[in-house]
Amino acid sequence: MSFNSLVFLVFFSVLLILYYTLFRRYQKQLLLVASICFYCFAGPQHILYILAASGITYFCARKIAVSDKKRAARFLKVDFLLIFGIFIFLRYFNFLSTTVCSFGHLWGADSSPFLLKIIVPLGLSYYTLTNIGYVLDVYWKRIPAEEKFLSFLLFTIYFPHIVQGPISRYHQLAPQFDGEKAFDYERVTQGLQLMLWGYFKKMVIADRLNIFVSRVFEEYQSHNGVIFAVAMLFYSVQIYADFSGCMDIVGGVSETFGIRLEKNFDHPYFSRTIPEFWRRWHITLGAWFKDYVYYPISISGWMKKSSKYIRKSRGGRAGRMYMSCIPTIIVWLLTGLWHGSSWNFVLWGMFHAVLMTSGILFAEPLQKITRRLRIDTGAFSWKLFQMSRTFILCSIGRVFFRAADLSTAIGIFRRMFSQFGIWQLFDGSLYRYGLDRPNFILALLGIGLLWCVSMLQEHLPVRATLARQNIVFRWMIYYAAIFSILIFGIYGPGYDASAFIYNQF
Amino acid sequence: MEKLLELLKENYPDVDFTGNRSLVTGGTWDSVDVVNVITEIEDAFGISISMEYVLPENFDSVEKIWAMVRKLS
Repeated sequence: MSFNSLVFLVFFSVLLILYYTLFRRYQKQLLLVASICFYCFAGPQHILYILAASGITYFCARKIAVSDKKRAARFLKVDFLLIFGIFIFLRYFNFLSTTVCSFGHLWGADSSPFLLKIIVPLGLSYYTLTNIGYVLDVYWKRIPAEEKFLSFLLFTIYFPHIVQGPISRYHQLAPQFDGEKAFDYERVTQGLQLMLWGYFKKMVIADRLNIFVSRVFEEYQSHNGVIFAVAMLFYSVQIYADFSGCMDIVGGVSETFGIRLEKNFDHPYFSRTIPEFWRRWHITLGAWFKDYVYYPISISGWMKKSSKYIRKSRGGRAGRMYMSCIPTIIVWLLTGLWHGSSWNFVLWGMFHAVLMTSGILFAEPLQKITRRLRIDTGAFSWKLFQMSRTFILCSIGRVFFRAADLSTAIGIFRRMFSQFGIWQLFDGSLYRYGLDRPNFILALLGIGLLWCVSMLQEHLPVRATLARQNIVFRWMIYYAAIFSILIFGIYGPGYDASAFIYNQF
Repeated sequence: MEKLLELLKENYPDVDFTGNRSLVTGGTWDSVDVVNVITEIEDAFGISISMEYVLPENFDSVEKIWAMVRKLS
């Protein structure tokens, strides 16, 4: 049941009515039942995995909470082994099998990979991380272990965050399920507004750009030059409109129930540096890797010992650089693998690892250069240059992300720079890739509107400001949004209501 | 606390430690800075900071860092 399907809208409407009427005293129970139904809609057999993962984590966390440190560590290891075991088996078995065979071929072995027909359960990557985060928080005594299994299950399976996140933290989400919530007109309408904006981003902008991007990437051998550059930039906007659109939809849905999900995007394309970009893009994933991977590695015994050795032998700066770069590289290798089980995702992760570590290593020399060149770093032109640079670098990385495999990504880069053919921008060639002239212009207008709204959101609370306007103006905006989605949304042949990009992760 | 303040000023001469109460949550320090501060404090005070204490709020001001150091000393 995709969030942009009619079935979902019916499901959501019925649930919202029941939530504030018949089940007002049992809202928590209703959300649990609704979440299980939502999950079963994707395939009832998958429910077993999430039930098993939640049961294991719940049990281990309970044991950790009442055990001494040594025993608690043992239960933590059991949880890690089982939860990551399920995750690695389902996500990476075929990838590992193919990789081992490929290496075997290099050494002259003649074997074909043993592949399993695995259907990855809905939201596996997300609930694996929420479960591991929860058990670590209990182990580090940051939160108490949940006593009721059904409460913990609701935290894991809560339908607005199970498909594409945000990756919620237990102490932030779980307490919100408690207590009876009265119908609040303002809160519900604000939630619906957010959903509307999310649908606009997804169906008018992302799905329209997808037509162009898919055609170019899937038939990459027949194009070259500037067409790839346009597809690359379009894909950056598409993935943002798609993913942040989904976050707006689920955030809005949750808000109507009186439950606030964590913010996952903060206008990332206004970032001036790559580290800033990753603090504003998929915020909850970045925060998860920082809290549960980066810090534990950075302050681990072996890391401290090795950095001490480097500081003694190579100086304090080298020690600090080592201490910053090694965990960053590990985090980005894992982030790449989390996104997908193929080498192009590994390479995408390593691309960002190189950018992040370069930022750390060259921060001081670059500051000296800008000072020596007397560059006014506060000037608008400098900020614009930094934002454009960050956007282009991220877009280059996205080619690895979008391409079907590593050889396709390399082929695209080769073709991009072989015959650039700038004239293709002006001779009507751009309209041969699925978007005719009116649709192309509509896509550009959509991007323009997205940019304008994002700029406004940077400076003022748009939804609250809209809520203060008189009723005629407000409803004009709502109708304009609804009719834009109905008229300009993409529903044509090839339309697949299940195809949110981040569903696959 | 003076020793701590001196240590921090030495490493971050541009940061105003007296007025800033949200060094991490306000974005003055990022994760790289937090790890750097942990290393410096561990060396200077002979303590070991475990994951239980690696929370943004523990590094938000000199007073909070000092409270953590005293607890672990």
